[in-house]
Amino acid sequence: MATRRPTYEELESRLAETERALEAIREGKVDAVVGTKDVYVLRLREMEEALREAGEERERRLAAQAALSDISYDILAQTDISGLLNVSAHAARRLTGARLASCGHGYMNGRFRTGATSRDSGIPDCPPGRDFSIRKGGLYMEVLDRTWSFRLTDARMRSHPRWWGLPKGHVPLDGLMGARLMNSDGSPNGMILASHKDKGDFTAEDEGTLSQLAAMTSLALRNLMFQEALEHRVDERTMELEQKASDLQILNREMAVEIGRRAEMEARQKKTEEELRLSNKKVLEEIKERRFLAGRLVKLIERDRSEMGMALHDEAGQWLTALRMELEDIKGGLPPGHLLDKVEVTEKQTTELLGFIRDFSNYLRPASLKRLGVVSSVRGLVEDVKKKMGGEVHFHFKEVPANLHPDKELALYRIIQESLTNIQRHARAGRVFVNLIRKGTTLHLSVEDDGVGFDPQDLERDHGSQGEALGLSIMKERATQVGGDFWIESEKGKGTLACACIPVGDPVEGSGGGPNKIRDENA
Amino acid sequence: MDAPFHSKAGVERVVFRLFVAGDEPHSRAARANLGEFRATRETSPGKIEVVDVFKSPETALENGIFVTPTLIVSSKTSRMVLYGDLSDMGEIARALNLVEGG
Repeated sequence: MATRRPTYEELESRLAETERALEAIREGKVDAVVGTKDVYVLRLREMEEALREAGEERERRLAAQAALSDISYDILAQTDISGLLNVSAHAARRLTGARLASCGHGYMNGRFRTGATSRDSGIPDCPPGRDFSIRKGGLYMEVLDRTWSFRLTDARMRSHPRWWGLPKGHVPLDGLMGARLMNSDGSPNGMILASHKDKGDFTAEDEGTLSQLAAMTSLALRNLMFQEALEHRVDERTMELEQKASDLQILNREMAVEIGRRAEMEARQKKTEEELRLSNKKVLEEIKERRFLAGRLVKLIERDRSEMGMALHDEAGQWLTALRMELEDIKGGLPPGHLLDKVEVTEKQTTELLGFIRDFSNYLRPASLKRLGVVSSVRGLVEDVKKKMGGEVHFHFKEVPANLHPDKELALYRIIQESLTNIQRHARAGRVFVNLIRKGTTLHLSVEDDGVGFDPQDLERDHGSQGEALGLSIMKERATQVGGDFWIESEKGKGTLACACIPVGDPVEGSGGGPNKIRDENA
Repeated sequence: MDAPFHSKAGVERVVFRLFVAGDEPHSRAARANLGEFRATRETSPGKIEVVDVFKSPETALENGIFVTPTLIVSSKTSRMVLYGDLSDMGEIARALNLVEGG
């Protein structure tokens, strides 16, 4: 069949139809385009609707993620587990559209330690103070022991083989969705539950969101538990350190006391050692002095023997020689009248001899000391010296005990005797003062003269070579022997003072020859 | 393709030929709207033919139709083409008048 060529009007009409068809395509009014090989279906509106819905879903999901992100700040900002569970329960409602949500933590042996619930005003509250436990094997154990999350419509919840119904007083449920709170190893540590979806049933997206919330809550929970454990450990450590510090303080105080005690002991020990050292030094000095005195004493005895020998030879020998010559004259015969003279001469010589023997005897051992006591004996001694020296010799005594020990009486007498002898020999004194005075338990003796005096250093230089120094040593030894002391002070041209201190000591009953009374007088 | 038919009075009748793509939404709506248009007319506006391009694509091509839904209102001497789901009943009526007016 021959094909007719279309007219201009026909072409124009078809062109207009084509333009209208294209306009219909642009306006989304067509379903399909018919091609030469196939029919192409156009579902632009559906696609637009799908795109719009996808965009809305995307916006909704973004909003949900933003909400989850906002909630994450609240969750991570919590500082205690109770607050965290409350925030999580509220967040579960907000994110899933549930009207009722609860959150429990510390699952152990079928019971939660801490819990929180969030509900809208249309959901009744549980009885106050009611604590529900979760028995093993029930529906809740699905999320705790078997799965990480679940989502059940109300019908499926009630037909679930593990659904045991609700305990008396429990808030009624309408559908149920749960997610596990877990430890770091994934083991269950609690759960978040949601019920009463505001519109329809919970979706898979709700379940995913609840799982994310549970994961975030678990993380925050572990962080808080770690912080609690850390704070507990810090508290324990702080207590340990405080206890150790306290123990250390006590130990320090004890150590300080011990150090003080030891320091005191060391000081006492040092003092004792020093005293011992001084005592040893003193003993050594005394031993040295005693040795020295012993040598001096031997020399003194030798000197006394020599003097006594010389005295006997010079005095007694002369008197006896003269007496023998007078007796030989008598024996040879005398003219009458001379015999009587001779007898008188011999009588005088015998008297002189007796006097010498008495003086000598007194020198060796004053007999008056035992008979009259130290005061009377010293007084006699002073009188003799006064006669021989020809100057003033004063004796002053006060409260001298009458029953002084004989050794002390002898020591005092010898010291006075030696002092007076020295004065007679060397001092060239005009006045001598002898004082014997008791003060308390001590008898103080001083013998002072206004003679030429001497330099004590000269005496020390001549130590051992002169009789004077020897005499002073003997006087010191005598004082020491009876527990006393002796010293001498002198200066050239300014006289000499000899002093002795003798302890009175215990009285001796009946000892001493003197009258039994306190002497107090001057002579 | 069926030829236009004649009325009892011998008047040439108008043919409504609707090209649809299966049960796609616009096509479905166009069928429904065209049916409603016919039902609301006191006299029969003409014969209706529905061509599914999935089944008879060549018919569409022969009629110069390349999109669906497309309605061709035609008589022996005139032809009008409408695109879309025919939700505008007035548009159909205007096309019908034009075609009938010849």
